[in-house]
Parts: sequence; structure tokens; C-alpha cells
Amino acid sequence: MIHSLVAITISSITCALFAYVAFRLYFKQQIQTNNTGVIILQNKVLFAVLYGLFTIYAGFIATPNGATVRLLGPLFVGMMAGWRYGVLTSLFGVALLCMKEWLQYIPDIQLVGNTFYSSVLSTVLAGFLAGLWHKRLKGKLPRIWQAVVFCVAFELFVHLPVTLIVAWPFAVVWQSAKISFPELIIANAVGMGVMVFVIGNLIEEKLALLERQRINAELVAARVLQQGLIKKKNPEPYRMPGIDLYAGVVNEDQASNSFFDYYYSESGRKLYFCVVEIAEITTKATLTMLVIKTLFRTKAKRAATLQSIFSNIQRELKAVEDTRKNRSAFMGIIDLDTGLISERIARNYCAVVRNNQGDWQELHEVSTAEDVLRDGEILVLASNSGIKTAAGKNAKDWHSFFDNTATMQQSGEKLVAFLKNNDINCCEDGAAVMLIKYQKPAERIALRIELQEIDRLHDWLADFAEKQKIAEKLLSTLKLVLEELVVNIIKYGFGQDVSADEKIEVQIQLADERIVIQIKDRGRAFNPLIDNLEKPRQKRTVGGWGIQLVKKSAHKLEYERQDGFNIVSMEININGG
Amino acid sequence: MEILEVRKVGEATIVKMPKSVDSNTAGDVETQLLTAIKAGVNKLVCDFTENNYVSSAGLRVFMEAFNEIEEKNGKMAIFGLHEVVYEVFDITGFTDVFPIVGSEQEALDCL
Repeated sequence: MIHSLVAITISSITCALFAYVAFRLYFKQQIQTNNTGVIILQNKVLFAVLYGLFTIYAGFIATPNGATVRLLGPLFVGMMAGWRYGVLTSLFGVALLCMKEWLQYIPDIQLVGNTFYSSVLSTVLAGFLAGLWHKRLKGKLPRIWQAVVFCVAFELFVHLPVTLIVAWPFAVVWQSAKISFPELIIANAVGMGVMVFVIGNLIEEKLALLERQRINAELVAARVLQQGLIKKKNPEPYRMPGIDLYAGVVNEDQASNSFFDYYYSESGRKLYFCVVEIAEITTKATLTMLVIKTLFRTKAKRAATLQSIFSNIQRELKAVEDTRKNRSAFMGIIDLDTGLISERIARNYCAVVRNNQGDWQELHEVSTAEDVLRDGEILVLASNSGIKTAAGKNAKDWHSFFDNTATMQQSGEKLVAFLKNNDINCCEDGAAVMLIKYQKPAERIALRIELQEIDRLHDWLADFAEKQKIAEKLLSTLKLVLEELVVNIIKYGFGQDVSADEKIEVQIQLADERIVIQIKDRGRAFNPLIDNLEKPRQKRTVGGWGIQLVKKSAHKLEYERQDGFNIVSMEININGG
Repeated sequence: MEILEVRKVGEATIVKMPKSVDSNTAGDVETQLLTAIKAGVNKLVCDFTENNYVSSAGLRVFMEAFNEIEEKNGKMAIFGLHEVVYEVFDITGFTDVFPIVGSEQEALDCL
């Protein structure tokens, strides 16, 4: 009995090895599959012949009771390739039986009774019936237990009855069958189970490979699409007066479907921006991304309402929602006149702003869009919640990526490098970051050293006021203050023979609730706040009216002499005081 | 030079101030006012209804005119100051020097 079990084990292991080697070397490449799991073997004839040869070989390693696994070949081929090939393999089994019967080629096996015809019939039926099962399986590989049950059923309900009916004499055959059939059943069932297990694994491996190849192919396609349509990985820093913008993707080595985009409105007074991540690296995701991007761009140009653009994008994002869990998006419009985000949408985003006090605040904590971004504030958008984990749960941790003097390019690169160097889940599928520092542009004018320039100064201020929607009263104050200071410089800072190249530079900037003014000239050192050069000409003249007016209007007023320049810095509160 | 509109109402002379009396235009205003005073005007009313800007250069002109007319024992009044301009007069203490009133009639009554 033990001897028999060893023989069976050898048979089974041989089956498995044979199947494994055959598939590994050749048939794995032959497996074609579609997503329904149907296995299509190419070159089925070779497959049948190989297993036919195996069947002959199996006939030589019978147990002492004469049990062999010669039916495994036809069963397996029939199951894998259909009845025609199963029967083809069966024919090799028949050849083996002929060798035994007529040539007495296998002398070791003790033939008991006349089993030739029953064996031939069983062998052919094995290939044929397995082929019918193949049809029923519709080409799919059965589960291991199904294969085992099939084998056992075949032995019990086909092989055994056929043997008992066809072979003779019955008494001898029955005695022999009682001993050999349990072994046969075990051997075939185990062999079949092992083969299905091995092949199943190989097929899965193959399918995984095919899937990888498909994804790789899609990645290539996606990358081409992205590179063609999306901004390059290291964009030029956005340079518009008042806006310092950096945008980048964290992992640009693959088409990660993390992207950003931005553009001006036609009037040039609004910045549209978006940071999106679709955590799926398939063509579908790329297409979704492109749809979003296209919506983002073209709808706006067709003057569709922003709400409609955003709701379209929301819909697109929702469409991919079903398949994957991570999508993040932040889109909005910054009004370049006010510095506020006028409209925005956000999904699973990670975004922080730095408020006037220099504290970092998470964007979702801000109640209304109007509260979001004020002059000079920094807005950071990062389209993957992983970034948040990485860069710190607390918005305040973002301090480490910024200092006041850094440009957004510098801060952005620092942030991206950090994310890359720290193996953080956000880098796997990529992420997009966008940093925006908003500041009203400073306006400048250079005045010649002559009083007529005051007209030009006033006109320039009127333009500025109109652009920045500054009230008339404040405009008068600005005109007054600048006139007094500039006239002072023209009168007292320079001599009569002043060079025509000599200029007074005036710079004005709207920041927060104040107007910041700087006046710079290369005249002789002259502090208008102290040096009173207006000589009273009449008894009632107290003089110094000009500087009196300036002091009264300015919230902050400073003078310094630096590198040969007189620099007067001043701030005027927009709301008076 | 922008010629200022001058009207006679009884003994008084009403001079309409330009939109802006700044460092550029102050000279012209000064010349015309002083010329008028030298020519014998001693009841002067400055009409600021169309003016909305006066800088310290403008203030100086009115101070000059005021001093000039006082020397001749004349009188001077101002009316129709824009809010912003009134502030300028106020900050520099000019509101204590001139009679500054709301309407032309009030100004004429001051003289």
C-alpha cells in the first residue's frame, strides 16, 4: 500500500512538473486571454501531442497494482483544448495500450484479464468527455475542486463501469479493480488537481503580466497625451505683476494623472487655476483628466458661466469616483483686482492659506470664498491628501516650506523635493502642487525735476485710483501727499542746473488695507520730516503746511538716506486714520 | 494761463477758482488775484464751488492774497469748499484765518 502511494505521488508530481515545465517553456506564451477569463491556447496540436507523449510515459510508471495516470493526459487536454484535441491525446494512450497488448513492450506490468478493449474505450472517452466539459466551461479553467470531482466522477461512472462491462473475465477484473481503482481515483484526482493549480497560477501570472503590459502601454499613451497637452513638468514660474506662482507635479516620471493648469481671463484681471489628481493610471483616467482640462479651458472661453464649468467638472470627477477612491481637485478664480478667490470648487483637496497674521489656515476651515485669499497671502494647493499627511497634519507645519523672502518657485521645489525624498504614499500615484502668492503690483513713475511733472503725477494717480477702485477722497489725499513731498524734493533737493536724466521715482502699491508709497531721489540728503526749508515770508505764515498735510494723512512716515538716495516711505490707511 | 472767471456783485469781486490749485496752477491764480488786488479790489470773494483740490502751494496763494488785501484794509471771504479741500484748510489752520462760509450770499454778507 505504501509502495503504491509512493508511486501515485511520483505520478502526481510528475504530472505537475510536466505541466509546469511545458507551460513555463512554451504554452505560457501561447495563452491568449480576454478579460472574461477565457483561455485560448494557440498551437493546440502541439499541446495535445506533448500530453500524448506524457501519457505514454505515464503508462510506464504504474503502481504494482497496475494503476497508471495515463488518463490524465487526455482528461487534461480535453479540458483545456476541447474534445478533438482530447481525443488526439487519447490516441497516444491507445498507442500505449497497443504496445502493451501486441508488442508486450511493457513487461513489468502484470496484465490481469483481458482489459485491452475496455482500456481503449476508457482512454478515448476520457479525451472526449473532458472535451465536452471544456465546452461547458466555455473555455475557462475550472476550479481545483471541480477538476478533482470531474476526475473522480469519470473514474467511478465511466472508467469503472466500462472496465467491468467490457473487460473479461468479470470475476478477475472485479478483483483487480477493487485494488487498483482506489489508487487510480486518487492518482488522477490528485494529478488533475495539482495541474489545475499549477496552470491556474501560471495563467494568473500571465494575466498579471498582460495587465502590466496593458497598463504600461496605456502609460506610454497617457504620457504622450499628457506631455502633449499638459504643461511641462517644470514650468516657468508664473510671472505676472502681483502674482508669484509655482506649480509642479510630485512624480513626473510617470503619467500619474496629477495635473495643474492656469490661465488669465480675457480681460487679464482674473487668474483661473486648477490642481487635480485622479489616482488611476489608465487611459480612462487620462481621458477624464483631458476632459476636465478641456472643460476648464474652452468652456470659459465660450463665456459659459463659471458655475456651469465647475458643475461639468464635478460631474466628470464623479464619473471616475465609482472606480477609485482618491481624486482631489481644487479649482478657483482669483480676482486680480481684489486678491480674493471669487469662485472655487474643492474635492478631497489639501489646501492651506497664510493669513495676514502669518498663520497657516486650512482652506476648508475658512467659511466663505471671500475670506480665502487677501493681498499678499499665500495659497497652497496640494491635490493629494497624502501630501497633507506628509507635510504635516497641522496647517502650521507648512511654515517649514516657506520663509518670507523665498519665491514660490523656491518654496515649491522644496516641498516637492521633500515629498519625493520621503517615501510617502502620495508619491506613488503622483500629486500636483500649486503655490500662489498674491500681491498687488506696485506701480511706478519716474518724474523729471520740474514742477510741470506734478500734472503727470496727478494723472498717473488718477489712473491708479481708477484701476484699484480707490475713492475720490482718498485720491485727493494721495495727490496732495505726493505733490507736497515731490515738490519739496524739486525745490530743495536739487540745484538749478539739474541733469535731465535725474529722476524722482515714485512707487505706489495697494496692500491689504493700506496704500504703500515710496519716493526715491538722488538729490542732496534732505529729510522732509525735519528740515523745514520754507521760510515764513509773512508774519502770519507759519509755514511747513505741506509737511503738516503729509503728516496728518500718513499712517506711517519714514525717511532714510541709503546709498546716496533719499527714500521716503509712507503708508496711508484706505479707511482713513 | 487759465483765465479765471471774475464777476462783480455790488462792491465785491467774485473770482471763481479753478478745479485744482496745485503747484502748477498756483502761480497763475496768484498772479491774477494779486493783479486784481493791486488794481483796487478790496472786497474779494473766492468761489470754490468748482474746485476740488488745493495743495500747500494753493494755500500759500490765498495767504499772499489775504495779506495783500489786509494791508489795503480790504476784506476777503471764501465759500463753496469741497469737503476734502476744507480739510486741507482746517489741518493747516486756515479756517481760523479766513471767513469760510457755505454760500455766495453768506460770503458777501461777511465783507
